[in-house]
Amino acid sequence: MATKPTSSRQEPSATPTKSRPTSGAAGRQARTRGVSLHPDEQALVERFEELTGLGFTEQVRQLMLAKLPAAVWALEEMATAGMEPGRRPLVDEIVYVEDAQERRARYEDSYEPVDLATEARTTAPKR
Amino acid sequence: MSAWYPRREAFFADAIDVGRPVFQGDIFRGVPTAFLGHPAARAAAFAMERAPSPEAAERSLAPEEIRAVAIIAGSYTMVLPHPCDFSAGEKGETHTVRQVARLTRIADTRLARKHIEGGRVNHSVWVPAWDSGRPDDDWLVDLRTSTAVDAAYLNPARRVAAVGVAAWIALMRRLAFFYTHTVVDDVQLAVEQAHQHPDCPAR
Repeated sequence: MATKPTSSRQEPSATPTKSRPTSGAAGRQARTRGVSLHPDEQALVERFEELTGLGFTEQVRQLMLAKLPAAVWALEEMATAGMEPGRRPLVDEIVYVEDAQERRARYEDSYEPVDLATEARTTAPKR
Repeated sequence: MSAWYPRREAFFADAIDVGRPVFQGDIFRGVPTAFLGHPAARAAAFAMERAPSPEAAERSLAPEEIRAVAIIAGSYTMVLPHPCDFSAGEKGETHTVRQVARLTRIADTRLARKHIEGGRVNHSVWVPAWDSGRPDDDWLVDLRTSTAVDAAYLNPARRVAAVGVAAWIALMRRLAFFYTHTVVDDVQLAVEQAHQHPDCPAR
């Protein structure tokens, strides 16, 4: 994204500043939501608009909102699957030492040829 | 602390058919991996002796000597790269190299399943048994065995399983951790990557 976070970045406000339909747009359900920006970020937004002609709302639509449907789907799938998005996993590792038997086994072929044509006649698919 | 992986019952895509695009994390059968042994190391292994140091093993080897100790292995393999490297209609049309890694039954190793599932073995990716569903049949992907193969090996009819989006994000984190020892933010992966998954309803 063009608005790359800076070290002094502030989080967007969680409180909507207004909640009313956009004037002159019959049937629109748009709402406004305030965003708190550091002056450096504000300058980036304005420079981006100068370069592209995209106002801030359109920047948000194209750079952020466009990604959210897929992201929300994935995060919901992760949560349903027992994961906790945003939380760090355990990175403690066990010490694994290869023994002589494993080293020897590494030098033995173990490839198992598969003939799909023959298998199709004799074995039911696994899935 | 969060888990590295989704639960086993939520690990795989629900339905796969030959029309599904080949994707990162797909599991194929009958696709080989290769290990290029060194004659001196092989001799030491069969003599049950300590592996020679690179300095002790130093010699000029002709290609045929290397071929003689090239080991072909694998019953199942996983596709490793991000699909941007091989997707149909893009680079996949002209790039003929695919990278895969070998699956090994955890029960055939000295490693404990709980350590693989817990992400505690650096070179591994946990893969629950896609057919039996029994924990005793679980697999690990050994990332040390990554091998370049021809794209011609990846016939979709040989594909036995494909990862769901949660397992895909877990796989990307494991790959990043293996190569960089850095935990990549899974929320960032969801934001930047989820739309690429074949099952994404927003594609």
